[in-house]
Amino acid sequence: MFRVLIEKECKAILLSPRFLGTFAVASTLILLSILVGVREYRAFERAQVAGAQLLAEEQAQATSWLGFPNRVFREADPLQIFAGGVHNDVGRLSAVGSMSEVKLRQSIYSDDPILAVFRFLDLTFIIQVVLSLFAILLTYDAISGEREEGTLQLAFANAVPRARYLIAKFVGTWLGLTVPLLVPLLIGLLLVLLLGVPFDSGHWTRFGMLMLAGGLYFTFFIALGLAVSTLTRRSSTSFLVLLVSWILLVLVIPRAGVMAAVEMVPVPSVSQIESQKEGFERREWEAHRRGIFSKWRERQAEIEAVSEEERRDFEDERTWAWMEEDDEERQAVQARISEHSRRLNEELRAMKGKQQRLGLSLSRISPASSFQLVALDVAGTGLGLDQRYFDSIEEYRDSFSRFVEEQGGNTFTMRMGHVGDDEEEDEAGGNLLDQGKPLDLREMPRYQAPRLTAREVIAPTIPDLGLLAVLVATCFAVAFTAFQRYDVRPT
Amino acid sequence: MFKLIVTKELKEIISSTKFATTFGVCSLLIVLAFFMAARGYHVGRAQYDAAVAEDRRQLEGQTEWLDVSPSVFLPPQPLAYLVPGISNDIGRNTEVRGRGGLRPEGSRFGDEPLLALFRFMDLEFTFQIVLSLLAILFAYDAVCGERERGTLRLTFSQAVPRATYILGKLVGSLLALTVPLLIPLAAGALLLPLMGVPMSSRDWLLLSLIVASGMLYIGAILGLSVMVSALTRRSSTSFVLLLSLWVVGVLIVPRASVLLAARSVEVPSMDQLLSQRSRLRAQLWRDDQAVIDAFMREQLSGVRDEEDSMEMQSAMQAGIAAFNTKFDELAEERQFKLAELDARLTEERRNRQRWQQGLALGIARISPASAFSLAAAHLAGTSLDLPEHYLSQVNAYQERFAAFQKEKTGRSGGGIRLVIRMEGDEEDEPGPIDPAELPAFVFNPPPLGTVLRAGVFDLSLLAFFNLLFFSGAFVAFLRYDVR
Repeated sequence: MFRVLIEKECKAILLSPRFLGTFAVASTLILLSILVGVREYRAFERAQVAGAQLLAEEQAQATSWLGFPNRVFREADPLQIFAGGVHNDVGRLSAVGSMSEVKLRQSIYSDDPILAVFRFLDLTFIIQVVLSLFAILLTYDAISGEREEGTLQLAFANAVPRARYLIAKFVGTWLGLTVPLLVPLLIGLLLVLLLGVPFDSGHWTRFGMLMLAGGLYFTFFIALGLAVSTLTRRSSTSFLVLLVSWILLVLVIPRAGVMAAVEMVPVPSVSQIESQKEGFERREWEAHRRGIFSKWRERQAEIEAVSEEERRDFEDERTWAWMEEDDEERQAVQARISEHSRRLNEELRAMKGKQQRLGLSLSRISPASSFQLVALDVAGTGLGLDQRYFDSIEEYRDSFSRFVEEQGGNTFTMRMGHVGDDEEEDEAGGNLLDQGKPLDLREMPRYQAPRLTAREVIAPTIPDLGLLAVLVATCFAVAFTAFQRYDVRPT
Repeated sequence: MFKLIVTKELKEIISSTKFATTFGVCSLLIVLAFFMAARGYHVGRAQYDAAVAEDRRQLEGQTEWLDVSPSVFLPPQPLAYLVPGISNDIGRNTEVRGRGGLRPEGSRFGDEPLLALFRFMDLEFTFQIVLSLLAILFAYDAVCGERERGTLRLTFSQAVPRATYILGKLVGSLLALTVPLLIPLAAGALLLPLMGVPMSSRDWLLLSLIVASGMLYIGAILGLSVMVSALTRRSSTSFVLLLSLWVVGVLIVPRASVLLAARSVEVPSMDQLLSQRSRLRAQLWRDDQAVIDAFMREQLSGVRDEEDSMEMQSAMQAGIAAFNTKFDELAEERQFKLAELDARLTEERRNRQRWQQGLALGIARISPASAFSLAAAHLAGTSLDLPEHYLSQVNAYQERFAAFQKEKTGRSGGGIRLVIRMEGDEEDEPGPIDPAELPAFVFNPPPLGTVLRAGVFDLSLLAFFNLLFFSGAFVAFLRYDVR
């Protein structure tokens, strides 16, 4: 009996014109989104590689470590094809140097605002918005519709327990809706592979997680449709209720949660923090300049009394020590500045973290945001993207500045110190302003983009997945209890 | 008769439970959109003020106008929070130096990706997605539903011309949907001044035009729904068809056309541009270095020959002055060459971009949804013209700032200067500058005429869609089998 019921349900769905229409739209959408995604992925990859090449050319021409051009480019991740997230909003590259702050700049959208006009189209969006709407459309009359048509009464003329009937209904609908959608998904995946996007086992696991979350989310809307249709008498009422809840769950709550969090936890803007940093930096250097100046005076005072000849010797003797002393001071200033901006960054990050946690937990009332958060987390295009790159670039910047320091990179001040004293060196070819041979770049540390391992990615998504599962179970339980007391008569 | 049909249609829609529920949700959404816009504006304003104040604070204690490079920020505009367009995606902060190319940086979404995560809930979105869905929901069975119920046949047992009937239907449902919406719209608009958002009369005019374009858009969707319902026999078919059309028209066409068309026009990337620029700069700098080197040697040898320390000092001062003048000359020349290249490159890129935009948006406009959102963005000043307009304003400010620097110090900023302070300099060390003297950056929105001209095309396109679908419905109904 159970099998018969499931079969009937599957057939009823598969043979309906409603299903045909929506299935065609959904398949086109899925395939289109993947095609567009692959194109965007390729374009991004090309842009980043071209940027890195241009940088390499610039570096090859550089003749001094002072102001040596170095930039770090974000790497393309195949999973961004399926879940774009904030990938287009976060900067593509960051300048790296001991004097410059790590900041991802030049996002795709700010470089090419045309792409921002209507946003993007990815699988996550399609599952989140379109497939959920379709799930509602195909389940809103599951029970109330059958009652209206009188088939529900007929079905219970047979010896069918209500529980079994409802479970069969749920399973049948689920199979009828999910299995056909696997076809365009698999074709899409095949397309990705055929188009030569590199997919390793880690990517597969993450993609599997994405599909799992999508499946749970889709199931939630099927269960919701079933629950609402057992709670109402007329299918038109149940459709209305479902449409309103869809608008609220998918479109309103996620955004409203974030807006509420922005209201409750104010965070200073990045430009304000940057101005603060710049101000501190300027004041520090000013103080440094004054310090050097007064020190120079002291030194001059020390040798005021002695004769010209002795003074020369004295200076020759001390110059190097003085320069070392000044250089140490300069490094201390630099350390203070980077310490200060690190502190500011950390404060900002803490505040932002608080805001984000609040916003995300508020928006998690809606399964649509739970699903989106899981999808973005596994694709690595969620809110962690910025931070992940920031941390790894900062690390790289430290090793790079150490390297430059070792190479005697900041020799500008020292060279200026020689002016006028060392005739020989000048004649030997040392210019006042550095203008020498290309640098040896072989030893230079190279940047390694942070890689997401499957394990790292999966752990934080478990609460969201659990939440989705709980919601599915709740909806089903509601449907189950409501159906026990459902009046099956058509009138 | 016509009046009777219109009244009947109005009553039928307004007295249905369907209407009560959806109208409630939509009113809530609309008022919420205005509320969020007002709050968002205040948050943006506070951030903007804080950033400006912080930038000013930095100037305190500065002693040299030439060292000053103020930052200017794109100020928040009230309408941009109702129709964000691309305003959150473009760079808003620009550090202005006396000379050199300027690049706005730091987009809102880039700085605060949390906001980029779920980007719904503004007025444009409510119209584009929610209200269009509503229009479909109310009109999908306009004709075929009446046929199914048999009321269509009953109606035509009386002496009603078909043309009058379908016109009455269209006008009735249009009135029933748009007039009630004016209530939450008016309430929402009232919220703006109540919550302290400064709205100029220009903003009010543009806002009402945005609402008008939204109404035109709803009209188009309504016309389409009636047309489809007059082309189908069963209301369920009509609904599925309309929903598919909705998904395609609202969600797919705009996005897919832009993504596909934009990528098929090759535009030189920003990286290429910047790297070409920095290569030329490095080249020019190297050339100049040699000149400066020689110049400095000459000056210094002159200084070294002086025996007397007083004379040496004055010679040194003269040397520094000469150096600075020389350096200024060179920098100006370099600047000129760079600006030339800049102009050429950006012009090239802009031309390609224009062509790309024309193609992409042209294709997107097959859908009324994109025509609406483009019209709204143009009117709200958040269209693709915004970054260009902002940059031109910033450039104008740069000129003013450079003139100011020149006036204050007699020299133009940027490049490298040589400042050597000697013993006894302490007394004539320059005093701190007065930050209040710095010219303020005022963002002027583009003139009303330009904005209206930009919006007119999409508005008339929407009107055309209305006409098209209405006449489509009309023609289809003339041959409709009412049984």
